[in-house]
Amino acid sequence: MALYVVSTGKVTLTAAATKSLILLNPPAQEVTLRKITISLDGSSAAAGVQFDLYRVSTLGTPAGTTATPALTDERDVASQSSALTALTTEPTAVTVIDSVYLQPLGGLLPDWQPFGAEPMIKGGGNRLGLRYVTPASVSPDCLASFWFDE
Amino acid sequence: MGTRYRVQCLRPDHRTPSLVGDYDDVEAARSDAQAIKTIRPADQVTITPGVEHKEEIAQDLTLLAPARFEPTGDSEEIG
Repeated sequence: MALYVVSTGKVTLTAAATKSLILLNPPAQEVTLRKITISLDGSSAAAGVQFDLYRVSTLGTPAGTTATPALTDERDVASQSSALTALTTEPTAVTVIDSVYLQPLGGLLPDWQPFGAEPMIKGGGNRLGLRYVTPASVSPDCLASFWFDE
Repeated sequence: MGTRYRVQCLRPDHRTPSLVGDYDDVEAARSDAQAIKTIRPADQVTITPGVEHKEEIAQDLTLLAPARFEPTGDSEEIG
């Protein structure tokens, strides 16, 4: 098992929108999501931004920015997973696993998943994603990442 | 691969822009760019046409480059 990270880089969230930040597509073998980090950089306090961790139930044709998982240990081989970040076309249907609110002005979630409660993905076409739901007139910058074992 | 449109947003107090998204449809890109500009009028919001190069994921340890977006035209600033 090796640990990899997919990060969004700095992303501006669109107001009054539901959009995915990360969609992880593992290879044939299973993948365990070890950690999710989210931080927000709004310029003023506002209504909270909702974040949903989800599994894809109907894929459709999601589109976004292609991301390559980074190694956390440079002795490991490259990840076989692929990922999209800052999606501009959403999956058709998802099943939400968990949700949280974060404050746009300095909201921080350094580690969503406690030990023993990490979601697993079977691989072979199954996907795991993170999306946001913003209120009207709330458009903070955001950084998010998935840390996963493969 | 066809042209994609990258929307970016630069806050006046930041040195690097943040990504709004890479769009296949320029009208969708304009719509989201305009929405951001409406809420954050002081920010510089731009649309840049370009091509995304998806790197093959290497199996031999040598290559782990992220996908690259190469601009193919001038940026359009949303005003």
